[in-house]
Amino acid sequence: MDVLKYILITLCLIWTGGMFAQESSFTAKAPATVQMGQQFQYTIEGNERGSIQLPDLKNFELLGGPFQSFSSSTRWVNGKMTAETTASYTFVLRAAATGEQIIPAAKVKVNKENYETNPVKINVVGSSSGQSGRTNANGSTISSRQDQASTVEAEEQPVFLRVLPSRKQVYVGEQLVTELKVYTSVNTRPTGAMKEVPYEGFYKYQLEPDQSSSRENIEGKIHVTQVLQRHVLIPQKSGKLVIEPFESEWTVPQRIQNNRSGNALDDFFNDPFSDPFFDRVRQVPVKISTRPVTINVKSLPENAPGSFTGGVGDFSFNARLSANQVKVNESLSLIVEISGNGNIELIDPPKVDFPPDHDIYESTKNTTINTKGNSVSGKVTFEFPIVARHAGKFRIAPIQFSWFDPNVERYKTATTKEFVFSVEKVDGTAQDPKVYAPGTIGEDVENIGTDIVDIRRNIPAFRKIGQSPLHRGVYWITYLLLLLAFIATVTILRVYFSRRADVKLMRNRKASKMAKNRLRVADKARKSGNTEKFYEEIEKAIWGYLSDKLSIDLSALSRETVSEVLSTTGDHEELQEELIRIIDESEFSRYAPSSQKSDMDSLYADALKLIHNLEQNIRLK
Amino acid sequence: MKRLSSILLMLLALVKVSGSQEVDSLYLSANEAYSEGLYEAAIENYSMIIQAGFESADLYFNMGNAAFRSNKLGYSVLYYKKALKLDPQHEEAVTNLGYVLKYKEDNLDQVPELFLRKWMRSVYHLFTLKTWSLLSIVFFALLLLGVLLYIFPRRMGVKKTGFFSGLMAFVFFIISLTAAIERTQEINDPDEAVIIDPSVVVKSSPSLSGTDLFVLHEGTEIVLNETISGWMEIRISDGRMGWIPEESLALI
Repeated sequence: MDVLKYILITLCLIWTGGMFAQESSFTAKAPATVQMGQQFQYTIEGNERGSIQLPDLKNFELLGGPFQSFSSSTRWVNGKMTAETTASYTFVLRAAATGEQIIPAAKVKVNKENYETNPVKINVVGSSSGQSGRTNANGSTISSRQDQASTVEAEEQPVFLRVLPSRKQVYVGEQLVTELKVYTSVNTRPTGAMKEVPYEGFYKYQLEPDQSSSRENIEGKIHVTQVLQRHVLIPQKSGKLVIEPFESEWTVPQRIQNNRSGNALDDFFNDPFSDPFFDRVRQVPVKISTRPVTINVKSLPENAPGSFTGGVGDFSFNARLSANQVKVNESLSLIVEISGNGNIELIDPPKVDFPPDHDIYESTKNTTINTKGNSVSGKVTFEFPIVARHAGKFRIAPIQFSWFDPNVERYKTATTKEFVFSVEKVDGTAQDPKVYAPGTIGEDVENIGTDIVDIRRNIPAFRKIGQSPLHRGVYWITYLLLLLAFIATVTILRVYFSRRADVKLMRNRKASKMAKNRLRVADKARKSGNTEKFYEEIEKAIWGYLSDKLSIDLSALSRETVSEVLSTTGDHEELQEELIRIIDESEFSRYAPSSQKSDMDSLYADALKLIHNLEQNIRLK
Repeated sequence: MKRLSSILLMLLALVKVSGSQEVDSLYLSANEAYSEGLYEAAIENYSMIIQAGFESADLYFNMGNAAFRSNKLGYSVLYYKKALKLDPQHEEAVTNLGYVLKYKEDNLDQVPELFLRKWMRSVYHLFTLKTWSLLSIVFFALLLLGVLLYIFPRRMGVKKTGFFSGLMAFVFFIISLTAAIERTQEINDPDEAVIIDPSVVVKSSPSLSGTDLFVLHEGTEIVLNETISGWMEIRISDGRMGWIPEESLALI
């Protein structure tokens, strides 16, 4: 059954081939770049078998071919059958001259029909150092310490790795992209899984590498290249940062020229994966490592604004409050968002001046990172929880955020608006201070900051510079005036007191005379029989005398004052007794009935004698 | 005491030197500049008052604030000291001087002053010069009154009171007059200064070729000894001496 089907399909193919013979086409292919002296394949492909007539290959050597291969396929799609045949003819050529070479169109003859291929342009480069190509390809190092590599002779410089930074001069915190690239001229693959390059001193993000491979000309040699790893790096410190050599193991096919051991079985077991019967190639592990790469990391300029918190890149910045109105003991939060392209994860929260007297908790940080494309971008969110503790209106001063933009090489600053939130009182029951401050009722007034005392704004009393009150006449004139006033006072008082003294002296001198005058009046009254008047005049004479003599006011005189004053002037007890006796007698006689009246004559004489004696004995100062 | 102070005020009104209208408006505009943060302009306006020949403790106090705000530490120390010289009891000036001195670089030991000298200084600094001169007049008047009381009344008690109060008044009169003279000298012939330059090298002799002794920084207070052709011999609080150029300091 199967056999029958096969025959049928083949017949169909042949038939269709005949049907579409007119639409045959042939294309020629060759690598775009080849190295002089090196073999390469020149392939003509078509959908028909035919005989190839090569053009005149001026600068190429034909080494072999054509090697033919055919394939055909038939498909049924929606009840329709399509059949395809491919034929390829491969020639092995070698370039004999450098420069841009063209292989002209080749002719293909199919069933007496002639077709032409396209001409092929080939860039032939000079060989590196030696024709045999035994030297190491530039950039690669084959570890000679490796045992197997020392015993096996490399037929080709096979494979090398490189770390390629996108830039070698960056600022701290600025991004750069590095690629780990393999260059190979042989069929190779890494043994085991590749590790990641440990970029020390850098903060790294892995990027998805482009899987496709390409051909590159490295100093005249053609290599197939492929990017193995891509990273975004952010240098963490300034200075020359070296990306240390990164080592990995690769298997390299090695053609065995001589069976040195002479034992085919040994070879077979040593290298069980190569086919000892086919091309006598075995896979040899080779340790290769990258060259060290130095990145010159510049430190950020000195003039960083105070609000700089480590951001390097291109950012946008905004902030908002989660609520504008809360009640006491409720919480709200300030949310600060920084997004853009740069070292998002390394940014510290910007400084915020919160109103004092509220509980501010440590900010939480939330980062989302996007590593698409060739850079790291993302968003970082800082949330500052605030618990309102007192009612009122509060403001948060505008928040400033500064970052360094390496593209323009200077600092940039963004400022938000001022935030205002109000806190409402809650009803008495809920307002329990213990809710937020256990064990403390009442607080000390704490210093939030210190500063100098503000200026005095009232206009002061200015004084003339260099002057002193002592230099002013007014000062000394005041003394003079005071002194004059003193002297005047003293003089005036002196005069006053001396006058007063004069009056006393006069009265003193006239005292006995006045008393004698009064006594004379009394004597007249006695003679006229007016006894009452007599006694009255006697009393008056004595009291008046004492008043004048002792400088005591008449109204202030009494027996006691008189005796007191007299006792200060000396020992006059007899005189006092006499004085009191006469006064008592006259007072008594004045109001007594006439029968008991004392003798007026003797009283008169006694009074006269008393005044005389007083005059003699009292010497007042 | 109230009555005394009211009498003093009346006398003050007699003695007071009233600044002109212009000086007052300069002062107000300087205050306004200060409030707007234009500290340099404020200092300029305040200085114009001084150029016009007027001064006051408050004026110097404000200048000290403006100087501190415009980062001139030396000048702010200078002006606060000047304010305190005119009014040793100016509380704000004492507070701000203490605050500002925290920013000073030089920490110097203090050679203890003679007790008597220190005590006398603190007595002199109890009042302003004006107060002292008024007090001297008041005590003189009290002295005369005491003499009168002693001379005239006959009674022994009054006489005794007059004698002792007169004696007291005499002592206080001497003290206040001495204080007034002393303060006048202190204000008009200052012997203290403040370093104005950010840093200045103190030399061993009054010439640039002198040996460098030590370095003083802005805001340090010094005492002056003598002046020779642009150089001043200074003494710092720990007793060391040397010469510095005249222009790197300002007299208090």
